[in-house]
Amino acid sequence: MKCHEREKLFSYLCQMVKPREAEEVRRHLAGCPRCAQVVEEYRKLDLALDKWTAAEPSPWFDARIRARLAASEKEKSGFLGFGGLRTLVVSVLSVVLIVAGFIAFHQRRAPEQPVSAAGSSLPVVSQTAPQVSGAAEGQAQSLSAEQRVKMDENLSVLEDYDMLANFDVLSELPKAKDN
Amino acid sequence: MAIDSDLELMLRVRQGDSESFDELLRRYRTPLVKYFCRMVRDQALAEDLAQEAFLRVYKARQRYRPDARFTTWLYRIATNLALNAIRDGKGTLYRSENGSAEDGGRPWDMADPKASIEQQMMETDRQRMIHGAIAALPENQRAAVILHKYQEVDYRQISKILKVSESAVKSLLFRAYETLRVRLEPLVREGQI
Repeated sequence: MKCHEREKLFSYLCQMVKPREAEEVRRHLAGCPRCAQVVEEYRKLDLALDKWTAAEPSPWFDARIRARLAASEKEKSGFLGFGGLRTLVVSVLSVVLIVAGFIAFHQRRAPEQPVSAAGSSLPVVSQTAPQVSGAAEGQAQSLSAEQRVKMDENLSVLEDYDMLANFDVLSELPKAKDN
Repeated sequence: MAIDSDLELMLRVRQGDSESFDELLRRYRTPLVKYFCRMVRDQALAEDLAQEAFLRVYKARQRYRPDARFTTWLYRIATNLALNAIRDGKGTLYRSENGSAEDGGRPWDMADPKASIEQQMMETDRQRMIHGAIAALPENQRAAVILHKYQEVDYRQISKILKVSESAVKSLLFRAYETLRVRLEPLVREGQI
């Protein structure tokens, strides 16, 4: 051990060194009065620090902390009450928004569905349905000019989404089936 | 009757047992107040901070994990509070340029009541000088010295509390003691301590 290794001296004093290192430090201290003096000063300092007293908690410490705990719990329950109401409102609004979105989505899609659904089964619509269904689209390409004119004539019917979406109108279709 | 460990008590606090919290309070109010007294050297502030630390323990009871000692957790909370208070300038009233105390004495600078007035004055002066020197240490060194010397916290715990390695704790303590040894050299040489 060398004299400049003061940290090792301190570690030795605090019993933070391994037995082998402790023995090494002891041997050094036996032959080095300067380092022995440093260790002695650390010891004196440590003893002095022992004398540093600190105050005990005041007698009202427990009462104050219980009051603070009670206040904290009260505040928490108040917050939770408000938080619960807020959660309820947010949940209800979320459900309303989801339902409204679902309805709006289906209302937009509704006019298209009868066309595609009825396109394959109804003769009247099936004449014009090739525009809509994927399978019929290929057939439409091979239609004659006359058929295309007929389709154009029926275009106004196809574009009348309100009529197609109307269930009552569709309910009359079996009659068309008979035809 | 077997004495419950801090960990057992804290687990019961987590389940809502207020008596276990009272027991923890009984065990640690004095060490914690003393720790804060030494860190910020203002008894009113020390008590406020100790209460805040217990309050935080109670509020965070559900998040407590028994993978570390309760005292490590408690002192980590306490150290953060103390260092924040010091950084906010709440605990620096006694620091001076030469490292001496200037607050005119505090209730915890308790001299022996049986000693003569002269002895009491000498004791007070000596303590002021030592306290001033400790107060002038950098925050982490001060916390390490107080935790090691007065709270009897081991190096491993100190390293977790200060979030540094164990070798860094040893280094912090060495530098702190070296500074104190140099600063208090006149007292050491005169044999006053």
